Amino acid sequence: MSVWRLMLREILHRKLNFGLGVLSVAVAIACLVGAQALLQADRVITQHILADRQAEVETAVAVRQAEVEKAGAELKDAMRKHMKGLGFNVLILPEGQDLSELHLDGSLSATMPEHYVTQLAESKIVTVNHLLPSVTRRIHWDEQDMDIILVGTRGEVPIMHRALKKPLLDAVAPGNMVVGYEVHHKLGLNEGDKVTLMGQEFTVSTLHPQRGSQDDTTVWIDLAQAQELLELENLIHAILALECDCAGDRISVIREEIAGILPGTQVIERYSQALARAEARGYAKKSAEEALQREKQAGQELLDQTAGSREEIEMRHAGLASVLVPLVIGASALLIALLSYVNARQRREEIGILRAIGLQARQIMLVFLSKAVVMGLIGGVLGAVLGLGVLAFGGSGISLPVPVSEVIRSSPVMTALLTAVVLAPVLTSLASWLPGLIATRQDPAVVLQGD
Amino acid sequence: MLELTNVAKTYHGASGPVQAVNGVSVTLEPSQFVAVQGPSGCGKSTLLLMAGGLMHPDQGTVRVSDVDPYSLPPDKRATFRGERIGFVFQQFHLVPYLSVLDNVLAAALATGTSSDSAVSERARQLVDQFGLSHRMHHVPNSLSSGERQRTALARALLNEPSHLLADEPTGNLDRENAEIVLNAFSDFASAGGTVLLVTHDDHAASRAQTSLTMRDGKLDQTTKSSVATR
Repeated sequence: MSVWRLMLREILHRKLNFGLGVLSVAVAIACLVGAQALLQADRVITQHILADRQAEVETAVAVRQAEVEKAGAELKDAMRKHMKGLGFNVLILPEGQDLSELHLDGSLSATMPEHYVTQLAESKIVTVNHLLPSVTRRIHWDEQDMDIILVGTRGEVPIMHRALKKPLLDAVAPGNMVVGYEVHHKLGLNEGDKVTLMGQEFTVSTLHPQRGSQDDTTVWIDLAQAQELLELENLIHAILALECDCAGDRISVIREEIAGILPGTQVIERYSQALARAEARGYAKKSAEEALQREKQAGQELLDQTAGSREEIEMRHAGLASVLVPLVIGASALLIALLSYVNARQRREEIGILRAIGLQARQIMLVFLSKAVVMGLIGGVLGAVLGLGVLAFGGSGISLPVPVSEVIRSSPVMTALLTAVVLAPVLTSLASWLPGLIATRQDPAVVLQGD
Repeated sequence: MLELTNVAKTYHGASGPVQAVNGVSVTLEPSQFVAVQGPSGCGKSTLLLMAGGLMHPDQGTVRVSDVDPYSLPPDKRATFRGERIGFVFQQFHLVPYLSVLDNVLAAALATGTSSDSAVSERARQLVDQFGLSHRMHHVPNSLSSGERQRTALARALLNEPSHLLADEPTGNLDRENAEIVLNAFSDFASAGGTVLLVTHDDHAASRAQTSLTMRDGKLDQTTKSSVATR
């Protein structure tokens, strides 16, 4: 015989009282655990929704980025081709060259050493490409009695530190002549025709189509022959080049770099169409980047909006739980206290006789509290099972994207379960304390006087 | 020895104070079996409760085996009761969900000996002694009145008390069972214990060595003279 046996026998004797107590605890704990489990399920759903959204946004951005890169590459290629068609747009001239002469006559008179082009090509220059030394002079073609611009060129000088690029303008072989549209159109020239220029015979090798520029009145011959005809051996008038895609004030950057390599020269930029297209290219690139940025921003906004919306739902649920759970636990504690009090009243006679035959107050209290602890433990376990059952059976209703076990194993739910195991016996003990105290203070004489 | 000196008790009810016991003095020596008779409401049950350390008298002193139980703190007094005094009541007061054996053993909870094998053996012996072996594992509801009172008697004797206090123990019993109970009281007294029996039953009182009559809260005569009254 022991206090524990006394307690267990009493539980078995008053099953309804004990069962109602267990049920009260189970409801309270089920509410606590169920609420935590559902809140955790909420969080899991949120994480999955956000992960899906994130993946969608990243995919959309990646697709857009690929599109932009492809469009950019196409644009770059197109621009390269256009730029090539437009020819050179940078002229490196001797410092003393009067630009009015160039603009008015299309001719140049100031010269610089031909080796400048080699010097430039062997430097680490980065701001220009396609270096083409030339002599250019407006002359009267006596044999044909017409004014032309005579250009002597030897072909592009490759820049040593760069990969060899396809030249914008091919060299003109000695003895050959390339003729602009106005010239060959007026003279009725055909490829293969023999013509004489300044006493030297040339074969027309190429006839240019109409370009609508100074090129239409230009005749190109080999540089060395031109230098000889114009008495400019080892001298050139200009180095033509194609600018790179420099950021900001391009011409200043080019001038600064070339001045460092070829002091005593000047640099001018020509052909505004080419510049406009280069700028358009830059603008297109910038627009594409901005579009990409907008796509990312829109994606982020969508993510933020989704996260905010989910957070609001979670907070609403948490708010509801924060009111409901304490309410249920409080009601449960009250019910347990009432049940304990009823139990104490029911046991008035037996407690009286137990006190009369010598049991101490603490032993009577121990009977009450041990029963409360057993009630709490059984109710706690039952409540935890019920609470998790809500999630298990309700999981399909809330479209839980992960196995229920994953939610149950999560830290908040495990904490709730541990809390339940501790809380339930504490709750029942506290609720039974006062009725137990009343029972221990009961005067056994009053009970026995019933006789 | 059980010694009550000038004890008094007044109840304060809605209809005013009622003096249940009024200055009673009586001494019961070991081996004495004393009966107290009197009409209902004369104060004899109150006297028994005060003697048993269950009700603090308004005045006077109680000494059980030379100890004033009311000078002890409540828990020590409870233990003292468990060790020194056995109670038997008309309504049996058994714990309804415990078996006969467990009800008997419940008395050992007071002395902390409930798990001792010697105590368990003594409990079985008492159960056997009072003819309850076949009912050992039955709960009180399934017992007859006589069996319940015998169970209560076994419980009262388990801790080998020096005093046995009984309040109308034969009131609900047939003659045969009443004899068993009264014989047990006699045997207890013969073995050196002190018995205080409160009863209406003349036959039960006749089994005592000494019979006292109580009226209006006072002991007014003795039918047998071997008890000291003052």
